[in-house]
Amino acid sequence: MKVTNKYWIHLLLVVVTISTVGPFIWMILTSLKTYEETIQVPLRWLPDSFQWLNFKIVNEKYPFIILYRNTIVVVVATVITQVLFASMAAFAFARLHFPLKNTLFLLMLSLLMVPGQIFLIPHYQIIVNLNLNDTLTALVLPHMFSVFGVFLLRQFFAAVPQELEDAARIDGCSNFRIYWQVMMPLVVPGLVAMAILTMINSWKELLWPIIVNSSIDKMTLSAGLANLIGEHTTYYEQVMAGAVISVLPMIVVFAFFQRKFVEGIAQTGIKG
Amino acid sequence: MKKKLFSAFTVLALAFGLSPAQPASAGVQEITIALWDEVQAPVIQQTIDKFNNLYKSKYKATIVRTPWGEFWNKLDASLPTTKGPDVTWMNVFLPKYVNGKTLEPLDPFIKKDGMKLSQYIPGRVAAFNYGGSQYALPKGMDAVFVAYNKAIFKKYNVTLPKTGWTWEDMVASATQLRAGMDAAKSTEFPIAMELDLQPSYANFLHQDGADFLSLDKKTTLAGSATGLGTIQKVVDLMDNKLMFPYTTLSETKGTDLFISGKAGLVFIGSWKAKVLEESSLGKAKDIGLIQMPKGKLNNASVAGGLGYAMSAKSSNKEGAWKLIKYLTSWGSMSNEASNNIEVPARADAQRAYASSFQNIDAKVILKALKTASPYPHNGLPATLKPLQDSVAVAFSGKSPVSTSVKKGAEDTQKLLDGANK
Amino acid sequence: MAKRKKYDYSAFLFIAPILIGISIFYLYAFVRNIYLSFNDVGVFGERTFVGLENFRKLMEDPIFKRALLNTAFYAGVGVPLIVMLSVCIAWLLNQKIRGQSFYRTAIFIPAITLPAAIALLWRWLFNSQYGLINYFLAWFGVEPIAWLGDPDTVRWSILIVLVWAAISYMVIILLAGLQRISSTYYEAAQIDGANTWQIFFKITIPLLTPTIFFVTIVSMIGMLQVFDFIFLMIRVDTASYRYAVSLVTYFFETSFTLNQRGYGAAVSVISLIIIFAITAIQFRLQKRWVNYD
Repeated sequence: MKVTNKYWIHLLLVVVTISTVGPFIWMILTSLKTYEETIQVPLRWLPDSFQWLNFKIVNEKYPFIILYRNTIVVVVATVITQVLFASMAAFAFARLHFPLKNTLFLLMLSLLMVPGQIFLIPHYQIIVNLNLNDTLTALVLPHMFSVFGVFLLRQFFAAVPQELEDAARIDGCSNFRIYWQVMMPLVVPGLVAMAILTMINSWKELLWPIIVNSSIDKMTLSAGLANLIGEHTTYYEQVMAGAVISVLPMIVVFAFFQRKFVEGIAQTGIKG
Repeated sequence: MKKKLFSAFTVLALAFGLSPAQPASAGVQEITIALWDEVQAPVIQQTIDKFNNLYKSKYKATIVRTPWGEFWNKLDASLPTTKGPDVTWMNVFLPKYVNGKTLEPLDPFIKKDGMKLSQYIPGRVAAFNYGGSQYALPKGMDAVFVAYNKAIFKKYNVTLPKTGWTWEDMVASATQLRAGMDAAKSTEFPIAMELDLQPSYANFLHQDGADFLSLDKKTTLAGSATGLGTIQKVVDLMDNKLMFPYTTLSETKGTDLFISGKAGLVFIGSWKAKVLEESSLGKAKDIGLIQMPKGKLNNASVAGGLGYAMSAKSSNKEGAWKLIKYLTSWGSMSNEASNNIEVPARADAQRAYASSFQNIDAKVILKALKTASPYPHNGLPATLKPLQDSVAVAFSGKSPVSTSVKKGAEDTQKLLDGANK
Repeated sequence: MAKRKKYDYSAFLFIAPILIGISIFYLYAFVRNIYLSFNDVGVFGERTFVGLENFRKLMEDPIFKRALLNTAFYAGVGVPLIVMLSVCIAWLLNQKIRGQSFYRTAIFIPAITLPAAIALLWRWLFNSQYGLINYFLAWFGVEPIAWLGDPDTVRWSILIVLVWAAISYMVIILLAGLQRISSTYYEAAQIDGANTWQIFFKITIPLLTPTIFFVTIVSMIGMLQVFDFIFLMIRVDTASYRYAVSLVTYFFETSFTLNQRGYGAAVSVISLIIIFAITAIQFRLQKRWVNYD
């Protein structure tokens, strides 16, 4: 493409990047200050000396290995179940014809339109009745059902050309084979997008893990770190240290995955 | 592909199953205690460890810590179930929990053990007595006082605040400071304040005799002529540039401004004592403490404090009671006091508190507690909200005190009347 | 192709897992919430039936009315901004240039940062005396603005944070949608001599409309339900709170902070009706501009 175009593209992207990376750098700098340096008025850019020990302090309070392990287990389980169940339903809503289809879809969509917090206490009561409170299972169970995912994937499934489906039916494929072998490979971008978004939401979830779990060894990252925000005093340098530790690996994972994701798409060679 | 998915499932299922619970050995009963403060938790853990040692084969207590922002939500959800904590911290929200029948009255236990409640500060015991029953044993107390920056006073050649000073004395000193700061074109301000009710206008109103909420929790006097005058006093401070403007105070906490050396003095609660102690201003011995300036009636501060309550659904009430007793004993409270955690609600443990501070004169806090009055709250935040909102609007200058706070007080009084029918 | 389609009952097997899960975990709570809105409900479930009283009170509640206005503002101004900016940024990130991976990773950062950290960060940026934004504006001689403290500007400040965070999410979805567009279209267009603008408007956008539709709906629902950042950045007892409060923030405050569960349920029901109506309209309109193959 033309050179001037590339210039513009880089310029715009740099501006965007500054708005996202800039704050992140500030977070890192704050995590390396002393408490007084963080609350100092007027603003203080750089700490006098890097307080690496903030990270040590936070880790001693909230063992990161355990929080990470829990978060990863919960996130992976949530993503797999959500994508599986949602893709099945999305396929049905997009490609199959059955009674009450539109009513059911509308009903499900309504669930997205109420504040999520109305489900907190009912979920808690269900989990307590199942005697599953203070477990990792409790963190996954209510979240295996994603209406958002059904909605997202329905768009992708609907966009698959009818001819492909017809060809498969003529070949005598069952619905399940059409779903699994024909459609799923074609909606991979949608699946990946849903997986990433589910992963992000599960990662950041705060209120539910705090309410349903109590022991620190059943806590997730964001729930564990929320303890650093106190009633009267918040040690900002510790909160930032915690935030940095939790974000860094995600960035690494994403950087790694998105390259694979693009290569993967190129290889599936979507037929136009 | 299917195989991979299946094995992934199995691995995950196992991972869940493998999450080890910590079962207590046979016969030992578990007791959980819920709290939020992560600075206090390690100190209380020391007490818990001693308790567990003492009752080794009978009880095992564990702390369940929840962040402040989510603590009450979690308590609301878990207390009515059998999976809630056995013991919990409790504060002014007590009425809400008693009315919901979620707390166990402690009177039978107190009577059986022949415990004398006089060992605690009477005001704190009364704070947890509701409807004739005692629902919690007091843990600590906090008061509001003034911290001032000696270096700033010296810089502008203003005499330091003297014991027994009045609001007018404060305004006079502040005006002098202001003149000096203007001349030096400085960004400092004479007075800083936190905008929360407890460290600010709850005190001023009480000191002028127009209580935010009366002791019987039935009326508010903030809408009276005196009350409106009190709020106007504060607005005047900001209008005359004697105190930081409202926008600054709502963005940056008064304490932070003070610790950064930007304020001549600050109204502050004893829960910040540790922060003052550890600040560089404190270490330079530049922080002076003094009781609040006298209003129309007195200079009494409002005092709150926490207590330990027991869940009505606890499956181990005997053990919970023993834990509560242990936590409020002289030994535990002195330990907390010497760790600068909180002023203990027992007179015999308070000495340890004062002597544990090197950089600030904590005796001032104890003196303030002697004349303190209970923090005004009825556990029904919805009834107090109109008044609180109206004061915030008045502070911001968006609406004059005489209209905004007057209406806010009327609305709150209506709600109070409705709640007290 | 035959127009009369037979019902395919095996579809129910596909929707079974999600339908069962939703029925157990969500349906009962959803219906109960609507029932609660007709009651005066205490913290621990004690309730008295009050009919339409909660709704009547809502109509006269000045804070609720402001919450409606604020939410309309966030959605009405925020959604177009989010959609337009996300489409542009996603397109930029889809171009074959050096550093593509780096840029893509950078845009991802707001999405994975804990909301508490984001709130602290922006509160610092917006600080009227010492914040970075006013610091830069001062270079141009602009007086300090009380971004969060001034009731007139607080809506815009919140909007900036919401848009900043939302774009991060939407770009991910749009990138996925862009991958779906076969390169043969682009190649054909380039052979025909089309320039970048023409390709963008005549090929990319039309083919991207299903994803854009999705992003519009999702960001609309998201903005109509905005909660976290307002709650974390503006204290409830400040003067600017009511000029920033959204429907869901007000719901949370009423139900969980003020312990008026019935009144809060009424807020959520009104919220549901509004969002439902808007979404239904959007679905109706989609026939006009969305292209499915």
